[in-house]
Amino acid sequence: MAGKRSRWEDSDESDADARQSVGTPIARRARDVASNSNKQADGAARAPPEHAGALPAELGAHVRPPPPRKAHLAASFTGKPLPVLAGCRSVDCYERLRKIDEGTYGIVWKARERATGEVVALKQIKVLRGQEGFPITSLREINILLALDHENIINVREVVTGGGADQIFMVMDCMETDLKAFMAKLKDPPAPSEVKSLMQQLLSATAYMHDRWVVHRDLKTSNLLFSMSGALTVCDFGMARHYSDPIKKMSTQVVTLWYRAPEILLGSQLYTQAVDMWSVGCIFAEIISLKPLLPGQGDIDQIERTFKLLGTPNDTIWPGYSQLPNVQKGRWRTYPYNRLRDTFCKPSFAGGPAPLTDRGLELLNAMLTYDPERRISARDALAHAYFREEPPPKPMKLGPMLAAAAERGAGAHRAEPDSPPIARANGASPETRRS
Amino acid sequence: MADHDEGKDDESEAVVEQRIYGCDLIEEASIHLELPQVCAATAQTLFHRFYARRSFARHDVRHVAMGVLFLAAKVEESPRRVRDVLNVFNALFQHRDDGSHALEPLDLNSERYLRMKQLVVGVEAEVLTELGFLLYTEHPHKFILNYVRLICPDPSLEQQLAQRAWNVINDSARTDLCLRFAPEAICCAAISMAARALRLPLPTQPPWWEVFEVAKADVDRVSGQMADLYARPKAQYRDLKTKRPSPAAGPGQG
Repeated sequence: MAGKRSRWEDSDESDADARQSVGTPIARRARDVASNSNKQADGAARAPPEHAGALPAELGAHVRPPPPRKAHLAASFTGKPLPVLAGCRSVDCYERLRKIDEGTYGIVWKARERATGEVVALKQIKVLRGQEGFPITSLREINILLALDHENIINVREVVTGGGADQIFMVMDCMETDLKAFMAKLKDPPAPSEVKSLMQQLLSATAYMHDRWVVHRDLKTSNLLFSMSGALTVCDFGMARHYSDPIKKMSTQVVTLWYRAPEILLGSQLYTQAVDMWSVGCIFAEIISLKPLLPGQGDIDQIERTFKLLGTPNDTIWPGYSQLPNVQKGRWRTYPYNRLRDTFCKPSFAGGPAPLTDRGLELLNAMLTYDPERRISARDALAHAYFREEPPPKPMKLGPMLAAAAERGAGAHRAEPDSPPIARANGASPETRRS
Repeated sequence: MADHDEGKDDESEAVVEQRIYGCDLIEEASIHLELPQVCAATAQTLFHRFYARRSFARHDVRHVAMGVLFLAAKVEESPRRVRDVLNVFNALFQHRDDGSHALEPLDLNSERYLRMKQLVVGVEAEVLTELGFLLYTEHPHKFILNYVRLICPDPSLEQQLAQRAWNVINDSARTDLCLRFAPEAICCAAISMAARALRLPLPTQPPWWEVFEVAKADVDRVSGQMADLYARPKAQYRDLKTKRPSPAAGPGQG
């Protein structure tokens, strides 16, 4: 970081500058190192590449190599073996191709690694450097993603830095599209076997992170990436954090409105990983019907819609309901019935089969249970009879045409509300505000 | 990235002492900051990882200790303000240097406070890039209770054995063992040392460490290094910067 400006600092899309730096010594060295490490066995393949200017030989001797994965380690938070120590490489190891997406969280670029030609996604981490050093929110995202290792969770290969200290990028595998953009291009809902495959993958990722005490807090269809072969990966851990038992107070400014669990909507700060399961339930319904389940306009409308669809809760079905902050504040209309069955188990107008079987409805209901204590866990959901009844799960493959049409960011309209903004750096303790 | 070729230190006497001194500081400061114990352990691991790549002569242990503890508190979801961290370290430095209890609090408007603040934030950024943001850690503590429950022949001694092993593991964080051995191996060595102190024989058929997939050689090597550590006197601070004097001289130095 000796004051060298990174090519990535200019936000214009021309990459003529970037191409020139192929020949710089650091890029060449990085290429050599990277191509060397590629030849190594697969055990080293997932470890981040050596630092361009590091001392690989001495370090290799000094630091213990990553141990083989052991069964009893798998239950620990650190699913990945201890990595070989390597400093951040420069972002100039990558050539910028084009902008994939830009949201409240920052910019995602498509890029090519100069050394290997591999296409990756680079996500610039927003570093709102405040009074308290590196923001804890950014730290959470990087730290959690580097520690998680699951086929349905986005793989972060390394973290690279640009010229300025504020330029930090996560290098991730590049996926063709996301579920939201993909579903927007579908004429008919996915077949039951395909729904099952999608849900199985989503639940498997969710169960994995909950086992490791990580709660995602922003599951939604646009945060589920999707590949040609039908593989689904959860991404955007910008709101994720560790939780502990006993649970501590956490922020209620989390989860995109349409996927927000009732306990958060009603102002509880002592929520659990069950909030993710509510979001999973909303996603389940959205995959079946190709439209969002609860597209509320603002907090009040969101609560109203939730109650209208699922019935207004009470202390019998949800002990402690009447004590929630926003229940005491407002007066909510009473809807006596849960209308999920009407919505999803009626034969279609044209006489086709109902979109959801009884087993499927049972699972959806278990996910959209008001009482977070009784809401189904990801592990239990995976074992649900729904996944064992006919037809068995089958990966949903993208045709090349559809893939091209649905490519991420290619005109996919963001009609849904954004993720809650990350607390800005102002006032006394900006980084701890979102907790 | 000018000083990337600064090389690694030999584990000379002075370096060993500064390593231990830095870890002592981290632990003391984390107690004063009322941080959970895991923060100190994480900070010490980050400290060793940093010095696996950088030199003690170029990076003052006092500064690095402040930076890694500040960072580890965030990593472990117990963030502390820069101001509080600085105040605690400031008091520790004064106390360590002249044994005084009449402490002078930091003036929050002073030039020195601002300099120290920049220093901590700077060390934090340097640690992050130097470690490639690999901050997750796995501490040997995690395994103690399970291991002890499995192998302790006398249930009434379980707690005592676990407590002693726990203390050994805490002490082991003063060495760079965490870089060279799996946490399971360190845990086994700690249990072995604790059992010896309690004169408690552990199962040998099969050898108990094998149950945890740990090699006898590793247990012996870790135990050996721990014995060396216990034979040392208390570590003192020494300024290893020979060539250039520190531009942002830490409090109480020189």
